[in-house]
Amino acid sequence: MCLVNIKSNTYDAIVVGSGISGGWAAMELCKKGLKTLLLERGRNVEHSKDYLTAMLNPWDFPHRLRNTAQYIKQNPIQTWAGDEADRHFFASDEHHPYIQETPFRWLRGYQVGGRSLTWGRQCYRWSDLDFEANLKDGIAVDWPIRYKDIAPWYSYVERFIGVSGRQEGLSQLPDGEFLPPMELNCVEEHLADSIRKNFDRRTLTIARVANLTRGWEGRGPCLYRNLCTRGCPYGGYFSSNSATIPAAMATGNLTLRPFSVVTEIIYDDAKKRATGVRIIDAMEKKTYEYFAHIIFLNASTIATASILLNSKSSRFPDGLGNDSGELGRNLMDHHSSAGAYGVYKGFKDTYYKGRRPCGFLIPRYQNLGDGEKEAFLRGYNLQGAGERQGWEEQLFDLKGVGKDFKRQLTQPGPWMIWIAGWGECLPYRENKVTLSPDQTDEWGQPLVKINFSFGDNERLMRKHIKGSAIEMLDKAGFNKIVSFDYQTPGGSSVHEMGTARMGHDPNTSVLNGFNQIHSVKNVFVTDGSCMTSSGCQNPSLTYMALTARACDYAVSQLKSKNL
Amino acid sequence: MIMDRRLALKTVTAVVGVIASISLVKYLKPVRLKSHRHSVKLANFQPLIANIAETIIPRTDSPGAIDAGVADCVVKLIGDCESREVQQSFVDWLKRVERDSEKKYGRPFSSCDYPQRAAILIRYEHNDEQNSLFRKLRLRVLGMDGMELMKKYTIISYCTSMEGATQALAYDYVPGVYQPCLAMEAGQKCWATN
Repeated sequence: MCLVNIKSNTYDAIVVGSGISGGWAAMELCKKGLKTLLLERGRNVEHSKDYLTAMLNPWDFPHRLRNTAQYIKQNPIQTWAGDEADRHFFASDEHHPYIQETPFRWLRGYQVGGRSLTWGRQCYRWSDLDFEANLKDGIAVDWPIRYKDIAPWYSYVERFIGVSGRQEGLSQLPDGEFLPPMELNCVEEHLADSIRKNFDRRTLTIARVANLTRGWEGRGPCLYRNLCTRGCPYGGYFSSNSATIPAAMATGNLTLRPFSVVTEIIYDDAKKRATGVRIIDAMEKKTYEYFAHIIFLNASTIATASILLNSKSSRFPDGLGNDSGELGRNLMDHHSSAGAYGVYKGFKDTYYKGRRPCGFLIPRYQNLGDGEKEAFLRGYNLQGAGERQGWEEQLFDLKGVGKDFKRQLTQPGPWMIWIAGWGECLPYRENKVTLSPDQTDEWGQPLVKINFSFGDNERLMRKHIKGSAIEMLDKAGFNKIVSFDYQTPGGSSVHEMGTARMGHDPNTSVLNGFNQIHSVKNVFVTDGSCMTSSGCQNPSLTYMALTARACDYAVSQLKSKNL
Repeated sequence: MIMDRRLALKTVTAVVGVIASISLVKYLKPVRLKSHRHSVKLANFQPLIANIAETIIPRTDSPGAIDAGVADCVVKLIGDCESREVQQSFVDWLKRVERDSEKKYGRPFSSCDYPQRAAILIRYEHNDEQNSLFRKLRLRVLGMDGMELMKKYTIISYCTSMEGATQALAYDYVPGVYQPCLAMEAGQKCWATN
């Protein structure tokens, strides 16, 4: 896999963005025989070879993994997520400014593989509880699909990426096709038992993650280093770099072009279709045009919206496909700032070996449609982990100096568990992405403006999360329970979605049930921007399933000459 | 090359903030002097920092703070990761430790024996609990004091050093497995990394 010389400017398909959904689009289209150009605005990151920090020890880093004060000042968003070992996989604020009309953390992965290198790897299916929610609540617009439409594609995706997890038979969180689950440790098993005994409808299960518990598709298995975000040289977790891009490359149909900042989709008024894309080479700063029959837009929610808003023509003066006025609106992000933690006095003589790269999940148990209704709509799941405290957790806890202090510092501390809620965010029309009329970036492109705030529903939910996290820890005999709500701004969950939503009606949505722009059928949008509501599940698995489904549809339409 | 120089320039200006300049030479000179003088200031206390760190984490059957090169690391981390104000308050605290030592024992900290050194440091310890409201308020209003900074960076420097991680703690570079519930062996050390 390397930068291929661009010999031609015409392809069967163009994919914009090489992150988790773009990688899938490229692989599916290539496997189906389409000559595909994959455009990525950042540098190339070749699997294994370019994971420069992956094998370093803590003492190999000049600041022992910490960011310097000056670096944080210049890059407050990047350093919120990235440390000395992995921040090179997050775009720097300094070089990629955007305008926060309200505080919003826009974390970006400007490199081949995008944020699939640094994602949390959680893979949760949606159910009809999610797909029917907008219709039942009379909120926003109805999803044009239901679980049965996407279920086979969830399976298709899971079989390729490899998801470890445990079957639980829950209707609100359908089981998938799992590799053997990772195991809970003793304190987590203890909490699981207590929850089973004390609470109806609540289950604690191991997280379902794209970390491989056995070798899979030539990758892995996971070696339990828990250094995933540096890139895994063993291919222990799924990323575009480790899986979809190499598979696409192997077909001989892929051309990968890094350093390609897509500025707009070219629309032909006469043909009434998109004919290609215009890019600026990030290094040369020269403009190029590429043409194709179909275009997949997978630049990530906010960037995709901004590319479409920037694609103006006489037919679409307000941005490509924006007849409804919904383009850039309805921005959502899960809230994940509230929860609780506590310590447990037992299991003093047990410990674990290995660093499991995930925690546990307590699937959503509120508003399941079986009569019990909360003060808020929709719901949340709880995620957490149990461990014995180490020096980092006890940094300010240990008193004194000298031998005794050192002994305490270097022996395993008490067991603790933290739990935090990941909650659904409703689609509010006023939460939106727009383009600055006067400010531009290094490439002359308008700066993105983000206006986002959570509403009362999310606030009520966070309060509920704190209360129930405390309750569950308390019932299980935990001590020193502390609840928290950091009130982090939007973007902090890095689950932004909704800016080009799917729907039945072209007057109120941007995309149809197959992710085609209603009025420009040869443009497909299958990243987070297509989401009509947010559910509370980590969304990447759904993006991948929708992408594979849309690719299958696109190729069948091409074959039957409908596109 | 142009990129390199630009980056280097940015780094240097970063240390002192933006200064208006007429020519490039004039621009660089005061910056270098200033940043140099600044780093020397904290580094001047390296021997004292080493002695305090060794008092906090002494050599036992495993390496101590001095064996693990903690002092250099503390100087680098506080110098690069904390604000000017915090650095200043840290230096002030170091001076106070020396004054205490002279006042109480009539000699510099480095000439005190271990119990004397420990006694000096213990007086700076807070007794408020980590999650107490009092501690939260104190930190919000006053920030971390010298002893807290010293302990924090001593622990970080020690536990992330090769000596500390591999000899005083248990360092498992590539575990290969996850075993969730093992009976703990006598003398089991805490894992060095999460």
